[in-house]
Amino acid sequence: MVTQTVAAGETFTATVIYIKIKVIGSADVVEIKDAEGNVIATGKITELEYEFAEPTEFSFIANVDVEVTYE
Amino acid sequence: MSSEYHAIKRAVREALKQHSQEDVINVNLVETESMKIADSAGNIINPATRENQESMVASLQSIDGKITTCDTDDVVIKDSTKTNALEVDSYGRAAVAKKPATEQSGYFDVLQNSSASATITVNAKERVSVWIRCTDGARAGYTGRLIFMTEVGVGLPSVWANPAPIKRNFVSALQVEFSFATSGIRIFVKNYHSSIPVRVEWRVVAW
Repeated sequence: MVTQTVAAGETFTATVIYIKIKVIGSADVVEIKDAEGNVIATGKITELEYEFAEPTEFSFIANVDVEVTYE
Repeated sequence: MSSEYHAIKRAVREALKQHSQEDVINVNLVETESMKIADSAGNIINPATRENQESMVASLQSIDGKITTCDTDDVVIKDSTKTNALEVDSYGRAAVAKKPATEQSGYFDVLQNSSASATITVNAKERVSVWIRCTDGARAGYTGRLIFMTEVGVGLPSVWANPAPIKRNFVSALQVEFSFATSGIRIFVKNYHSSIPVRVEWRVVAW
């Protein structure tokens, strides 16, 4: 497991089989976009987790600072 | 008719004649009981003043269309700020909906052949309702195999004190209600399809 902080507006990219995106602090509307700019999650979310059947390249940009844990 | 009445009538007629070029004046006085106009405190109002006349006209206009009952002893004026009636069920019970403390909504995508969960902060003192709807790429209702699970708990999501999971298989839309206090809710969806990502639209209402 790797844990790192990703600042708001910064792009995260890694090949993962599991990833947890944890919002640092609080925000009324969290918006997480993929590398193409499509919103993949929005709302007052505090944690978002993905688990894949096989290693998958995963990219995102958040509008808030987040802590990412992945493997 | 009293002698004072006829004396006043004559005096008025003579006075008006002197000021009339036509010299024809009809004065008809009708003897009635004395009549007073008083305000709600019993103070006599002089209706001859412009201010009092305007005030009385405004008062009459304000009750225009509101008089629901009127007889010689009682006038009922409908209060426009009140509703007409309280709706009750067949047992005579009035239903009063309690206003939700918070309402929030959002969505998250679940890629093909993967699972995803979103944890949402709520502050439910009594209960929380969760609605979900899963759609495909065209935003139509998704009918493929999904496993949906939601749970609530008190405290931080990773160490919830009272987790209460509800798990469903093959659902595309669902409403779940938890009737107790909670500080967080987690929505989990597993997408078994090998090529179609799904979107999980959620709405959470807390009381």
